Amino acid sequence: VLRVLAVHDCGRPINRLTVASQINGGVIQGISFALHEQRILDRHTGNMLNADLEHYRIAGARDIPVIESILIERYLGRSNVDASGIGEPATVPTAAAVANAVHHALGVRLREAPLTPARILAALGRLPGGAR
Amino acid sequence: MRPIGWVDPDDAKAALAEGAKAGSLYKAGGIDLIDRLKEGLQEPGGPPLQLVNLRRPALEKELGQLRQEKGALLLGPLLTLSRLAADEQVVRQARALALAAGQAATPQVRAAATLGGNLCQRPRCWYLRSDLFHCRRKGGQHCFAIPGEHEQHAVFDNEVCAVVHPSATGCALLALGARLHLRSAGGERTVAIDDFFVSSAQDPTRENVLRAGELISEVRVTARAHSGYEKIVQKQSFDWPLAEAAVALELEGREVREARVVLGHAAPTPLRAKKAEQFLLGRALDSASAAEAARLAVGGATPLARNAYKLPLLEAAVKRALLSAVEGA
Repeated sequence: VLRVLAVHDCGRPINRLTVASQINGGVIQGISFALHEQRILDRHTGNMLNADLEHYRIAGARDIPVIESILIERYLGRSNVDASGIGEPATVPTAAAVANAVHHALGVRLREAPLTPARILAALGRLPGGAR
Repeated sequence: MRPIGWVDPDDAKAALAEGAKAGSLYKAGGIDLIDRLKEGLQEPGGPPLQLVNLRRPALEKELGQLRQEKGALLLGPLLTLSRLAADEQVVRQARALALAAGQAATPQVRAAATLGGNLCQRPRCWYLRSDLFHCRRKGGQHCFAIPGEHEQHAVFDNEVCAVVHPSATGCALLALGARLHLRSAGGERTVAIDDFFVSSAQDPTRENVLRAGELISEVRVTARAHSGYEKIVQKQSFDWPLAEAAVALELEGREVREARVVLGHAAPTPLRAKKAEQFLLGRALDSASAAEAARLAVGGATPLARNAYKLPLLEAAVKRALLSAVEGA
């Protein structure tokens, strides 16, 4: 992922810097969810096999794209300061946006996160025969 | 946790004498060793452990030097990965090694990790690293990866145990045809790197021929003008490769006179792709011949139920490594 443009409605931004920072954090987690994070359980015993940061992939500094954010400042008077939340909302659409970008680039839909090289090759029909 | 002894030897001879004692383990950068101790992988129930600390200024002179000798690089096992990646002689004469060292792990790890430690680290198979599974590599009866979760496991030599060898520098040094000088309190010997790694079919409980107390004391690499290394990763840093390849070529013009092609993260050892090597002999290296060599390199693979996706990745890594090796030729 090279660039993310995040457009959010959080009502009245009380502190623009912290709002942008919340959006950055949410986008980073969304990218990690889209591309990396996967709990691996042994199919026979149910033990988690990657319960450490060596095997459980999580987006690191070099995986983070340029993130720009735009705030839709719609003031509806729903609370005493007219602000609503931001943080988790920035995570919610990000993985889907990444999956849409992959669809746009490759022409095939992936329906399961994370979008691993194995799943992309399978979706493209590039897996050597026999294996699923 | 049981107590662990610690000794600070003042020269290589003292280190080897300490290393010969039962329960002794050499510690260089300590990257993999500390993990193994924490994971309880280091012979639980055996004799009391003692770490022989090699990371000492007193040992730098004997084990941490980079020298030139008659067209070869002599590398001490205590050289760090970051030093190998940045050293101009290594970049010029053993480019595959510089690239492999420079792309491993993270800057912080590379500053501490050593060449010897990188070659001798143990596989990162999650069953091997979990104390819940007594697998074949620990002397048990079963490989849990073969019927279980093996997305990142071996696609060659995987009938007995399906770990992949983790060493990027091992992959590069096998391509470069290095020779390893091994020393112990009892003597010394030299082995070609082709004979250093042990396949899982031979013995699934070990990755190399080092005997107890034996230490890699020097790595000799003949200078090669054309070599390359490529890896394919899911994350951009701090991640084990899904596939890697190292190549070394002797060229006349663009025609290949000698080729060594190695697959990494493909088998329990770095693996020569001999069919690809033979195919390249006498041919001009271009995009088409590199693609065909890469296709041959993964021929004969025996992927498990859920890791055949690694084959196109290995193929791409071989092709890229070959083409990068002849850039500017």
